[in-house]
Amino acid sequence: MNGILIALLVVVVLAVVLVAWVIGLYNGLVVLKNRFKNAFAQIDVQLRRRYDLIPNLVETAKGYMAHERETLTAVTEARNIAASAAKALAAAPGDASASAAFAKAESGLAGVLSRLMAVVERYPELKADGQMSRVMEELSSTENRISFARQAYNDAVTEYNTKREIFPTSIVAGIFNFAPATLLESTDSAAQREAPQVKF
Amino acid sequence: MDPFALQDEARRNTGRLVALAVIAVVAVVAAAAFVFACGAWIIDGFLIEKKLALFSSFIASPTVIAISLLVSILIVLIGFLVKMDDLASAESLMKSVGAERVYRSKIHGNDNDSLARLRLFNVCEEMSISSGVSMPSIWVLPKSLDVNAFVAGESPETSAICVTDCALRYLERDELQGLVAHEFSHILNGDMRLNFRLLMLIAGVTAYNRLGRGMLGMFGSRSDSSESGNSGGGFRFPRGRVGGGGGGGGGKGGGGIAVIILVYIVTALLLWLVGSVGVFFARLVQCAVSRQREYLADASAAQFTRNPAALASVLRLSMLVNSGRSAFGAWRNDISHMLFNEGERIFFSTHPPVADRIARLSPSLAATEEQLMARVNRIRAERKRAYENRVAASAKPAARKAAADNSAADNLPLAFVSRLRSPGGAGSVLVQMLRGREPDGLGYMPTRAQKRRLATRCAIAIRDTEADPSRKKWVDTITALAQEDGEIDSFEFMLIASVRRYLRRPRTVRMMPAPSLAPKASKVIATVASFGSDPEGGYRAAESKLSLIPTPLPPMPPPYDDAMEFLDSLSELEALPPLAKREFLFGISATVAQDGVVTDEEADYVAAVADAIGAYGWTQVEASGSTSRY
Repeated sequence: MNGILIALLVVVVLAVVLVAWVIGLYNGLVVLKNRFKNAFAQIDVQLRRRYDLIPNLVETAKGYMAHERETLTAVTEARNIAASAAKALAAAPGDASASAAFAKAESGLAGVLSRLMAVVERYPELKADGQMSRVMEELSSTENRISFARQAYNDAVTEYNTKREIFPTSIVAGIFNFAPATLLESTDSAAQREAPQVKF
Repeated sequence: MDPFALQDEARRNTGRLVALAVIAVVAVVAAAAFVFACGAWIIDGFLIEKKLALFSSFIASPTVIAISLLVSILIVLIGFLVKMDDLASAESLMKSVGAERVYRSKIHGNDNDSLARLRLFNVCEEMSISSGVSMPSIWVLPKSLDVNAFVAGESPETSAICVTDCALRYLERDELQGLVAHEFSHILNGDMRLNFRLLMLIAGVTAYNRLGRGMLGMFGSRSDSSESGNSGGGFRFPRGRVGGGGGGGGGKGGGGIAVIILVYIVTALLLWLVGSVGVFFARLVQCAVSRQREYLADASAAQFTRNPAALASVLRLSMLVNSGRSAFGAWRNDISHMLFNEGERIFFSTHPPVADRIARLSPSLAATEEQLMARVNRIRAERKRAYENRVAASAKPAARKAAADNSAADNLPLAFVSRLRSPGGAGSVLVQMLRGREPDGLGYMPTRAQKRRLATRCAIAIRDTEADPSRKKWVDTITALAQEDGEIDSFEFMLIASVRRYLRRPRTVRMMPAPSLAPKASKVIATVASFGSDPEGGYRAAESKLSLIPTPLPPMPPPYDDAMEFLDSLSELEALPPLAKREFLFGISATVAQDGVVTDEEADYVAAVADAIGAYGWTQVEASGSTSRY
């Protein structure tokens, strides 16, 4: 009688421990999942920051770069295309063509931006201008943020995927249907992969 | 190396070390309890034998042992429960080291300083994105010429990051990123919390050390209630009784009491020893943990920035620049575990050797050695300027001029200095100055103040390089040359005072009470005053500085006519007690300053008085009211 009671107690304790453990694993997965989701949202935030910054940049550069009107116009156009592509993608998330258009617009924008940076290098007065330095700092920070956000997303996804696949979390992940997340591949354009180099 | 693998390694090592620290503390607590119990048990045995059970029940009672155990366990527990923020908020810590908070909304200008702050803000936000840590408050440590940074705060939400102004100005953008990323890693990995808890473990162990010392303190004359603490204080009471009881028990009980006292002392000593050894090892472990956390932070920073070469070059730069000087003054010990880089130490170092950190991070640096050295030189130049500015700012115009004269006299051309040290060299410089000529090898005509300094240096050089007869010869030569033209001007007077001071055989001077020398003193003051535009006023001006020499001074005596007589009575004033000498010198200074102008002549006499009474180098008051050294 006494033996059965003890055995029962042991079983109950074990069950409680097991449940607590599973809850812990589950919560850990949820935390990681939310982390990479948040990291993805950050990419979007930083892209928007870039769109907002460009008109400011063009405005400042205009005064010094009378002969480079073409480049400036190209930057403005690329920015508008990318912004509208982002809007279209936001309206239809997951749509393959919208997503492709967005990726193309983004890489186009990055391309003209890096061209603009190269042009700025040729204008010493422009580089020395305080307002321009400020805008350039913001722009280069934004480029960093975009790449860090992508990087953070990929790191978070990797951590999540690893945790998800490792035993014993893999069992919990299987039971509760934690799907694997996909990494952001770097785009084809070399310009997109490398943020424009801003040197002071 | 792969930053992820490095992080894993550092985390594993930390885990082991923390386990070690916990085991050490448990061992110390157990050992201390054992020592205590043994001591109490032996004493108890004696006390029962001597029918002194009253005390035995007190000392050996489980309560006392339990209390001592509880004290250290409580301290350790408190460390785990109390949040560091309750003790010292990140903000108050930042303020106390003199850091200034940076707000993004307050950065408006387009000047370099604003841009640097904007950049810091941006870099922090980038790292916040990259590391996933929420933004800490951002602080800049102004006026620091170290490349360094630190973080404070228990949780990511309340933490603060501080970067030195120098780092802001001298680091490239990607290097600043590396520095900030390193600090963000400390926040992310909860290193401040970890370190704080380890410190509390140490505090728990220290309680035993203190208990032992407190028990010993009862027997030592240097017993200190604040040091012995509550537990130690609690033991004061029975000691008096034990002594009294021993007396009452007669001669037979005396030996037993002695044994009890002996056991008691041995117990206390052992407790102290166990505590000390425990503290030693706990500190060792704490520092080792801190070093592992630095490796971890470096590796994490490499992960956040994907640019280990930039972080490596900051490390190299900080190693070259931060020569172990204190950027944070007295705070350094308290915050060293949070700093980016501290000076080089080995076992009790909270940071690993920088070279090792660089080697782990990256085989190549973002900046070349030449680029780094160029920056190091600029920072060093800036430090030198800052030092000079500090010196200049602390002195008023007259004193600054005096300081410049001093530095000119102290920064003599090397060839000239060696000339002073050659036989006859210093003497011939004195002769040249007497003749009003430019000293050979100096390369410029010294100003009067420089001449005064130079005269002293020459006299000292002769004293140091020549034998007694030749010293005496120089005194005679200078005195004779000065008198050549039939009169002794102030500069000649000063020169004679100088050579007599340093070159005459030292004589023992018997101090005399200041009042007995007052008549001589007043005649000297009157003589110096007679060189000013208002002799009577100058004479009275000295009174304000005098107290040992009785005031008011007698009616102004006639000044000395004969320079040598004046000089001799000055030498007699060497018998003034030191403090009276000082005030006498202040009085003379007030005399020459009274009319608002200190002429070269007057300055010469003040210097001569200082030399003659053996008070050379004392701070004196000049016309402007500022202080300077002659």
